[in-house]
Amino acid sequence: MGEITEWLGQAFAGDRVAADRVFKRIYTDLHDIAARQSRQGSAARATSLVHEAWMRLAAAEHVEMNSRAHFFAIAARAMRQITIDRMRREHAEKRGGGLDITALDTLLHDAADLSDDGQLFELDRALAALEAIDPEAVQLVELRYFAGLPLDQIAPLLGTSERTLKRRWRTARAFLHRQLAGGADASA
Amino acid sequence: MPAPESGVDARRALQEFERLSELSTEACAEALQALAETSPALAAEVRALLAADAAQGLLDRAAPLTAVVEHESEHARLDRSNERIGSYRLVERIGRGGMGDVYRAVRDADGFNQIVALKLLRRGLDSEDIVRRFVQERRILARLEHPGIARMIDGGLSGDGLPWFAMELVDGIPITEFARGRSLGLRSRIELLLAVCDAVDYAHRRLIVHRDLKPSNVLVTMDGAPRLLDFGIAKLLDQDETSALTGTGVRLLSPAYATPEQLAGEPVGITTDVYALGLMLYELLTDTLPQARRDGTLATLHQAVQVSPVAPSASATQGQTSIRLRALAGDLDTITLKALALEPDRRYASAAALADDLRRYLDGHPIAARPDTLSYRVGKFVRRHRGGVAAALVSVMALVSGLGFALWQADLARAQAHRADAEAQRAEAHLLRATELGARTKRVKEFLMSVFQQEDPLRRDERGALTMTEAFEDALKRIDTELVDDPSLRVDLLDDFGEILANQGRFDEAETLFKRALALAEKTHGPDHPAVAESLLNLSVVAHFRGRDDGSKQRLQRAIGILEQSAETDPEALANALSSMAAVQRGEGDLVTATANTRRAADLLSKHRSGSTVHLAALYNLSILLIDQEQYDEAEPLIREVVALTEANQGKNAAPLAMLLSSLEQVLAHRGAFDEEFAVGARRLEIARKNLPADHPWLAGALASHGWQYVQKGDWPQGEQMLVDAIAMLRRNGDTDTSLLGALRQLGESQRRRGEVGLAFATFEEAYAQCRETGATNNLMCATIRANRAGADALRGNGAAALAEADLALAELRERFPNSHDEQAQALESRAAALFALSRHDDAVAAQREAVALFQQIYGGATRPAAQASLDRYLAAAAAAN
Repeated sequence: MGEITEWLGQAFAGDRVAADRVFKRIYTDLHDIAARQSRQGSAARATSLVHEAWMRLAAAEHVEMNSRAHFFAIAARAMRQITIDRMRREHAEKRGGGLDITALDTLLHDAADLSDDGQLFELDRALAALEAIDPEAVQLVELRYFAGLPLDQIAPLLGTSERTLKRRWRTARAFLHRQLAGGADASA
Repeated sequence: MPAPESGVDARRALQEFERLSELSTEACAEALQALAETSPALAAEVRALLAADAAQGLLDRAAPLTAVVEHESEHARLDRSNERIGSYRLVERIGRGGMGDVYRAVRDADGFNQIVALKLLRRGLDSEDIVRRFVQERRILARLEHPGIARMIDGGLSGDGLPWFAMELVDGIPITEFARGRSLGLRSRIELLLAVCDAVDYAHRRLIVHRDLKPSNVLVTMDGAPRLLDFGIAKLLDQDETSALTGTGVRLLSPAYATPEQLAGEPVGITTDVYALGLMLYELLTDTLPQARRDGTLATLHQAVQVSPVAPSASATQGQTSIRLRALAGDLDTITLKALALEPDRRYASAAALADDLRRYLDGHPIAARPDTLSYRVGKFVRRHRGGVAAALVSVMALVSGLGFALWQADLARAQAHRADAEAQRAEAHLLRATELGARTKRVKEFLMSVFQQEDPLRRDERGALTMTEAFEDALKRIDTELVDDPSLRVDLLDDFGEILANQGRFDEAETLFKRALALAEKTHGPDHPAVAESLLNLSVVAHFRGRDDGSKQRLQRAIGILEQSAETDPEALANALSSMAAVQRGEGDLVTATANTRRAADLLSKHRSGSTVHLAALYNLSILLIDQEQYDEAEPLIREVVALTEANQGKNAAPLAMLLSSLEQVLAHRGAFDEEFAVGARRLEIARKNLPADHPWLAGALASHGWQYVQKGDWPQGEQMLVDAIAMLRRNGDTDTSLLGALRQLGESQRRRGEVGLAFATFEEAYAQCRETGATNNLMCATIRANRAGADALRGNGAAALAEADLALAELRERFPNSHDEQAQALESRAAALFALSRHDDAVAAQREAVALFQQIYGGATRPAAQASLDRYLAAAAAAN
């Protein structure tokens, strides 16, 4: 058994130090994969980032398959973290009086409209609020939105039916969008 | 930070939401009702959740990470910080763009520390296309020196051959963030945008369209002054755009701020920037973008821009803005939505016009924009413009050739009739949507609804669905019966319907309606009301258009008087009246007064409707009058400006160019710039063929003109064929005036030049017969034809008759048209030919000498070879005889 598997287990048993190690490792992996994928161009991107990270890890470390769920949960959180970190830097650059001439980039990354960083910050804050009410819903959002996994792949990871996940996604989505839209005013 | 209302248990709210969201709409409403009775706060929270559930949002989009990480890895790879470029040291990269990166850089040469923003083309991006674009931006910036635009400082090539330029480093934040961050009030926000409008207008006046205006390109510095940045995809209006990269494609757009025409890949112009300013205004007023743009991916945006955005005051989510949305209702809504009109020609015509209206709002004056009301929308369905716009254009055309716009309008009307069913449905949808109308508009609505009643299978009578034309006729009949108690509305509708009839060429009926509108307006409003002026104007335009000027002048004089006196005068109406008056005066030969009136109209429009179609029409009229008076030097820049603005607003192949370019040809012909004249002629013909139906008078005009250019090049078979085709077209159209006469004259001239004097005489004879038929023998064209005919007759050997005719023509030209030097020279040549035919060789030499001298005088000393050749022939004959 590779040490990462051990860390994964410890992390889920509540070991903060192990969790940190796992997180950092996965964070770095995801970064590398993303950088390589970007050099190859989007056409080469056959699998999602998180799948490739998992396969790389599994090959190198002989990770046990039952750690897969743990891995995906942590990877999804790492992807949330990378996204928000990145936005924070971008935002700081802009506020620092920089010139934003990302016309081309915004279009290329249409799906992820980078100029919408304000909304992503709010989403991050809203997720913190949701965490207090329903931590599992946060996990679901991380897997689906930040890691980009479809519900039918999330279902086995969380050990629930896709149908249940659909309902829970709907509720989480309504909660988060409500927060994004500026909650207090809407009922006024 | 948004949060559920205090006192509400969020967990409980989510549980309730989960329960209610599974219910049917009715059951859900009931359950909410029940909940509201026991716990109103909880019910409100659940309601908000249900609303959020129904709307689109961030989470519906794709995962952002891939893009983000890509961005980041690229970022590190391409950073050139710490390198030296020219006399600058790159300190750090502060921005990345489609073409280059921007660095904070320090100039440390000359012991002089200057911090700049240095834009450098990125390695690997140096394709020819991108380099050209980059250099273009540099050139554009060099043209711009305005306190509201980041200044260009320096430029050059880097050591590895990449172009760069340094500009003023703007230490500021995006305009919308600035407004939010300082919690600016409404007035300050509008003033901020006014400063942006001024900078954009300045660029437009230098024929530069920015094309990528968005908050992140408008930074506000600490002192509160906004600065415009990034002309990276800006366009020079006076230059052809060959680059595929920056053509109409959407590759370079920022989707959330793209205009409908950019998304549709259509040509962009000044009004593209006006739209972007409208979006910025929207965002400044509400702290958010219109709904569809907030959530839009490119695909959904394409859909979204098919419908107008909701008014700012009705923007669904109150953002964090400190502005009360309700304060925006009324004028600010109207102004914003006008700037954001889907069709470019319905927006403000310029950034200055938008700024003017915002200033009027701030000063508490009535604004120029009108709400996009029901009557407007339905009006659009039947025709394109309210008020005298069509009338003004009719008078433009009257100036050109006495034919044209109305016929062109008729073609449009015909095309519209084909789309009638679809349009009727759309119009009805608009009608149903319009619910907040005042009492008067409601009357219009009811009336116009009834027009479309036949489209409704449940309400129509046995006649079934009506065509557009039938619906119109039906409505026309019912104006009198159903609106008896609302005379002022009746006046308006009679005028409007009259304009439609006129544009369909149904002049008698149109005149009848205008006369009734006039009588009714006088009775209802008194003799000095603008509505009276509108009817007077319409009547005169139709009469003048039909060549019957009886009373036109008096009516126009009266209309102008009313409009000058009235406080509520629409400056456009006054300008229309002045233009129409000028058309009449030009017909009478009073070019000086006509020019003065046209100048006044142009000034009015430049103040109030700068860049609009009517404004361009007035400038065009002015250029024609100047050409009439041989003031080519003043006419040329004017006509070039009109052409450039038309291209900018409506595209390089816009139909009006088929007319506008003809003036440019005239100017060029005068200058002797034959090659350019030929090229412009070819272009005009191509535009006319592309845009106009067969036999359209403008098409015939372009064909004749280009045919004549071929003749002048010596290619008479091609040229004469085109002239013959043009003449046939004009005859099919029933044209009898200058266009036809001009083409006949040119055909005859070509025939004469190649020695077919019999054919030439017959052609001139045909033309002059046409003059006699229409009683127009006293105009310049006919007098010239008379002279030409005499010349051909002389060549046929009819010396005596030719001499008498040539002298009559010459006398006529000298007396009536003292400035017609070229035509007088032609008459002198005819006289010389007649004298020569009579063997009066010395007299022939004298007359021909006079002609040659006159030509030299007109054309700056250049001799006209054909005239010189004739003179030589006469001299030789005279010498032989002596």
